[in-house]
Amino acid sequence: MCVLACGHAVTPAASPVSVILAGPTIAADSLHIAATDSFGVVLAQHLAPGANVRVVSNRGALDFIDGAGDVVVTDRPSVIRYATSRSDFATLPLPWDRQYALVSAGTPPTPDVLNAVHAEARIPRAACADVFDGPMRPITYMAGDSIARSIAERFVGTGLATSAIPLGHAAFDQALAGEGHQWYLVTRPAGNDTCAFGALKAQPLIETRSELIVRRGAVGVVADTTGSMRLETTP
Amino acid sequence: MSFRARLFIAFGLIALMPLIGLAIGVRREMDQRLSAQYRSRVAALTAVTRTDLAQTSTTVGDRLASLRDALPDDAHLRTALRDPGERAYLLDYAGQAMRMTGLDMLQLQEEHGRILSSGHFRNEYDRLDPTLPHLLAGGAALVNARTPDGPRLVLARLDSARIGDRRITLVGGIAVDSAFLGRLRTDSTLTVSLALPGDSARDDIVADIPFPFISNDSLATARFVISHPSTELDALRHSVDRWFAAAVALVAIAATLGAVALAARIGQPLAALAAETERLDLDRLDVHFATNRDDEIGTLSRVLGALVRRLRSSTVRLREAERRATVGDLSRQVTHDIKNGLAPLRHVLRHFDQVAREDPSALAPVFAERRATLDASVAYLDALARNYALLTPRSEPQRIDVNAIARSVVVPDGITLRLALDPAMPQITADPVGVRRIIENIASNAVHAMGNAGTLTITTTASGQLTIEDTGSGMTQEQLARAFEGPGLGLSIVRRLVTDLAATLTVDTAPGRGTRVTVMFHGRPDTPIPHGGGRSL
Repeated sequence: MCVLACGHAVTPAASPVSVILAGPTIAADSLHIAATDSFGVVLAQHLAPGANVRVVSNRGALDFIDGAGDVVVTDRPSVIRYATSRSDFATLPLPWDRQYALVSAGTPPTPDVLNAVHAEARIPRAACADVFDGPMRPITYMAGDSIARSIAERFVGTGLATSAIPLGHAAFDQALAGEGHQWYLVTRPAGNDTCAFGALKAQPLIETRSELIVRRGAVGVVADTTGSMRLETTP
Repeated sequence: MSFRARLFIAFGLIALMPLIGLAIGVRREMDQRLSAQYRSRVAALTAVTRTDLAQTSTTVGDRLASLRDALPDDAHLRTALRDPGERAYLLDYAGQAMRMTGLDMLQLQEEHGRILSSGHFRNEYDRLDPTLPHLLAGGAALVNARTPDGPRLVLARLDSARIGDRRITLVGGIAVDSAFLGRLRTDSTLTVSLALPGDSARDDIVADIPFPFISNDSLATARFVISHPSTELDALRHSVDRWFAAAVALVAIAATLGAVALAARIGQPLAALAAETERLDLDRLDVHFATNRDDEIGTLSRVLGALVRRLRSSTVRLREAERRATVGDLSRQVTHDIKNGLAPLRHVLRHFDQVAREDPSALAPVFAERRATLDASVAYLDALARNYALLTPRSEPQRIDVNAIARSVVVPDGITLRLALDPAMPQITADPVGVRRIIENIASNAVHAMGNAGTLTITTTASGQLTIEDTGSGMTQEQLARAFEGPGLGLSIVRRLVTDLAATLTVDTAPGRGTRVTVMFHGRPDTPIPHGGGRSL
């Protein structure tokens, strides 16, 4: 049996895995697991502690499903659609776990970004003031996070930012710790309605979640009363 | 200007001018031919570039046309256009279609210019850009398309499709980047680049193709520029120039060396002739222009030699004339003075004679009376003799090269002078005028004895012997004696001068056998007198 996950960010988000519990009956080394991004990798590792989780691209996830894959954690709609079309796979939405927020010194206007990302996304419940009183700035994001990149490109595409600049983890943290000369796309746990980010201001843009794709008959998924899920191998 | 400089200039002109002319001609011919080739290649490349651009435009149009035809058949797209829940498909459609058709830019706009889907910039959807289709309505143009990574230059065209009641505008294009321009370049020495409005002009442009250019919602003109860096032609020119410069330098060096060598070959003999000529003087005619050359310089040397010989002869004659004139004047003066001195004596003697005949007893008183006159006349003559003695030139003895004096001997035309002078002939200490008079008097007598033809041979030896021999008529012993006893000229003078030098004089002569006069300056002659009739002093 085998499991898989798919992803965007190089650095895992801080959060969401508390709702995912690993089933005690699962034999992690017997599952083939993959994820489409590092977030998915973290999720998959919490589902099956000790499991060897492969990070794959969209195409890799599709090939994984067509192959001997057992579990895929992904937020990619194309992968989810394909798994849904397969009768031998079941898809289970995982809780909304990530929020992308725009951090800036002011409160620049934000475009519609819901359709800008290739991920299952929603508008956050929280909304912050949207009164822009400054010049347009470059928008920076963490390099390797395709969702953040799509959001940044949406800002540029609608003319709300001058350019989109990918930064590595250290450079991004360093820029974020600066004086806010640019705009920053940050990820934080879903449901965060704080409009402040240290000395800067934060505007939640979208929240995303991943889905769990499991091969029917190979892996069982049990949801407990708290909403957490547990993988179980079939007897 | 020196002869050497003239030669150098002549050599330089003769050697360098044709070479420089050749260099200029070759360079101009090379320029013309290469320029013609370049023009031909540029024209060809321009035509190819125009064709490629047209083909690219056609390709874009064909791909847009295929999309135009496929669009209405895509039911999912129709759904996405109507159902917001399927909007993701619409937003991703242009990207998918762009990749499928091989375009680098694809934009789907609704009728009013709102971007429905963008392949090169997915997330610019909903942005209004009605100007671009409007500007592209005139045909293909270069467009600075917006992308997330910055502007991208594309060759774009316009098409449109109708889906139901919606008219969808398609703007697609192919990137005009370095690869695209590289494909246009078919000549390794020519480059095709793109000059956008505001770009600085290049100075190596050989042709350009204007093309519409859309940027910042305005239409301008860009240019596909064909240029050749001309480095190849310049390198060829520089190479040719270097070779010609080297050739010119070599020829210049060769010309210089040739001029120096020729100038040395011609100039040195001329300089030697000039130096010898400069030494020439009436008092020094022992300059010789002997040469074995058979060229013009040899001719000049011989002419100068002949001139010097004639000059010597003339000088001898002139001196002889002067001497004779001087002697004549002196003789007349002496005669006059003596006559003046003798006149009182003659008168006194006549008086004595008259007294002796008429009154012999009065002779003594008359003698006593006229004795003062006699004494005065004698004193006058004595003073006169001393005064003339003072006229005799006195010179200080000097070291004399007898050979040099012998070389100064000149003979008139018809007489051959042979010199057999031993370089080891020792110098003597004597009055140079006296020695010269010895030699000239002997030679003059010999020339006189030979008449219009003959050979005069002057020989010196290391033992200090001078021999002057002629092929003249020779003398009998009587004639020889008269010669030595003559009136102060000729051999008598020679004898006196030889005696003054403490040298010896030997004359060997016989009728019909010529005369040989030997002067031994130091000791006796070292060769025996070959025939009798000789006389030594």
